[in-house]
Amino acid sequence: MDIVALNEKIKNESAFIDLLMSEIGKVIVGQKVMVERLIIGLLGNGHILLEGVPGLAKTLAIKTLAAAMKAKFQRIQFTPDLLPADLIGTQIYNQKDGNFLIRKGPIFSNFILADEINRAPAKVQSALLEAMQERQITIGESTFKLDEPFLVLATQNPIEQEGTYPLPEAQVDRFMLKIVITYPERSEELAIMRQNISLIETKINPVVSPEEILKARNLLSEVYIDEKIEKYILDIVFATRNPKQFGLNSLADMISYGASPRATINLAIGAKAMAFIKRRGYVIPEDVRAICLDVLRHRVAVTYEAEAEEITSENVIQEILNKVVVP
Amino acid sequence: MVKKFLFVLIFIPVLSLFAQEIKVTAATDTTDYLIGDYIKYSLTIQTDENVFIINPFFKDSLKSIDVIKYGDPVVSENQSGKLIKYESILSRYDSAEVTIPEIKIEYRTKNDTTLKSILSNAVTFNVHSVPVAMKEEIKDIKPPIRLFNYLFIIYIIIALVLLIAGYFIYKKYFKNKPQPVIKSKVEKIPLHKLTLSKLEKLEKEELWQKGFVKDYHSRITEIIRDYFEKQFNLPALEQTTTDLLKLLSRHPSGIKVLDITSKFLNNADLVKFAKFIPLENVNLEMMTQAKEIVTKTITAQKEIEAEVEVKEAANV
Repeated sequence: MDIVALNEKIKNESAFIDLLMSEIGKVIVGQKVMVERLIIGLLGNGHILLEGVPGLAKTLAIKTLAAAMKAKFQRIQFTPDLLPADLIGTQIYNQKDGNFLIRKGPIFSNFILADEINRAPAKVQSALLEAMQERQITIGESTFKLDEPFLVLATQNPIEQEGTYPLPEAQVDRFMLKIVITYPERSEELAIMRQNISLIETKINPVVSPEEILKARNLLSEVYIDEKIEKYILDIVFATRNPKQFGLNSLADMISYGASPRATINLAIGAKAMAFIKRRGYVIPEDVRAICLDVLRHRVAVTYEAEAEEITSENVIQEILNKVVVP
Repeated sequence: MVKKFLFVLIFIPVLSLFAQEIKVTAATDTTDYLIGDYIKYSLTIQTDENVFIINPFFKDSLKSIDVIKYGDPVVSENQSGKLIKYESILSRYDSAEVTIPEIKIEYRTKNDTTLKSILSNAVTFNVHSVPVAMKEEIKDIKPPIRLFNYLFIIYIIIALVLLIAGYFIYKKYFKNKPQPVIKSKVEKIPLHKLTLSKLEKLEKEELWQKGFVKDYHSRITEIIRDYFEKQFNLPALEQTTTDLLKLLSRHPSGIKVLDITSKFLNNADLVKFAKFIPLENVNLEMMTQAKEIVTKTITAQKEIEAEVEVKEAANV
């Protein structure tokens, strides 16, 4: 398709993004980046790991997103005594007719907020992550496809570490994005305060249907990504693995392991989704850079030496972005 | 009685003379052998010159022994007459106590056609199996001895000779031919001049006219980004268009070309990343804009070391 026509098509089809953003903006003050990333996860068919201190409107954001889409939402508080059956469902014996009935768990929703995922033991985490990957659940002998769109937003509390089961690297890699939420600006916090103490109840109207999201997902594949951008993505990912090849000798001892091929895929999908949100039919280096930290921060591990010098994976990725030549 | 005594006295010496005319002794070199060892079996006949020995054939007598070699008779003379010796080589492949039985030797005496015979003594010896040292370590079987491959050396020598010959041929016919030498020397050139010369070189290549529009836009933006990097000390090559414009807006000289650079870079981005095919005048305008960006930002004679290639005729 001609790029002008494609651009026009994307412009028209992505009009709902502005509607969605403004609807969410009625309730969520600031946190534009988080909302944008939620939509990227939704469009890119990925899941999101959210890290931030309590009270930063994580639950509210996804609840509002679900309401704005007229989609099913479930919040699951992960606790040490949670069982996989509590999440995916189980079979119950019906004494009346002597059969086993299947009771579906809360995972059968469009939006799942897995609150404090690191509080549940490994078997529950695996059950959730398997469902995220396979997009289907097997209870007894029956297999059920999960509803589409299916987005898991898992949160991790970075402060309390006692009594937690940190997600292993292989499982963290399954999240398309890891967003770190920071405190709002002073002006934003003032608006939050005023909004919450007023008696006016804000009503969220459904502005997008899940079908429209699925249609947009298909359209995402049409967003043009040039060979130069693909090479740029590869350069960034390879620089996390072999920093010396890119003249980043100082980072060689700082990186314990680099980003996986899943990072490359998600970086490309994320950049396309970003271009879609910006209502463009093609990807530019800005899209890659915008999404880069969120895609890579949980996929690049730093060494003990780097940790001792308080160098985080974000610092490493930023350094790489400053060095890799933009096409 | 006297007659009897005389008869005995005369007859006994005659008998004893007859008995001493041939004597056969059989022997082996030792009495203990290992399986497969060669057993030297000798048959020695001491006789006088009037006795003719018929070569003995004793293979049938040696049932459990293999005959490796039959010995030819070796005749020698000594004080008692003549000594005939047959030395055979035998072997046995099983352990046992073996007895070679008495061997019958047939002979005739001079002026007598009667065939007489005499028996050798029997010989007994032991054949032992190889003792197995149970306490000893198991040792590797030695690999077969490799003989040196002389053919390989010959090949190497031929290759060396060819190489040396090749070198001399090359030296004689090619090396001494005069060839122009390309020397490169480092010169200090003002940065804007260097950038403009790069732009002119790109213009002469006529990339977009030949259909390489994307390459043209990539090269021209690369030249300008490199110029910004060196002129304003900005990491321009590692910045996206938006970020670079932000940096330029904060630079006192950069702000002068902010609008034109924005147009220039955004146009190029469309071609580079969006398959956009610009009109001819856009391509031409890109070059004009690039040159304008450079000429408008010459603040000081910033010189840069550049490698310049110079062709010189070589000394013959």
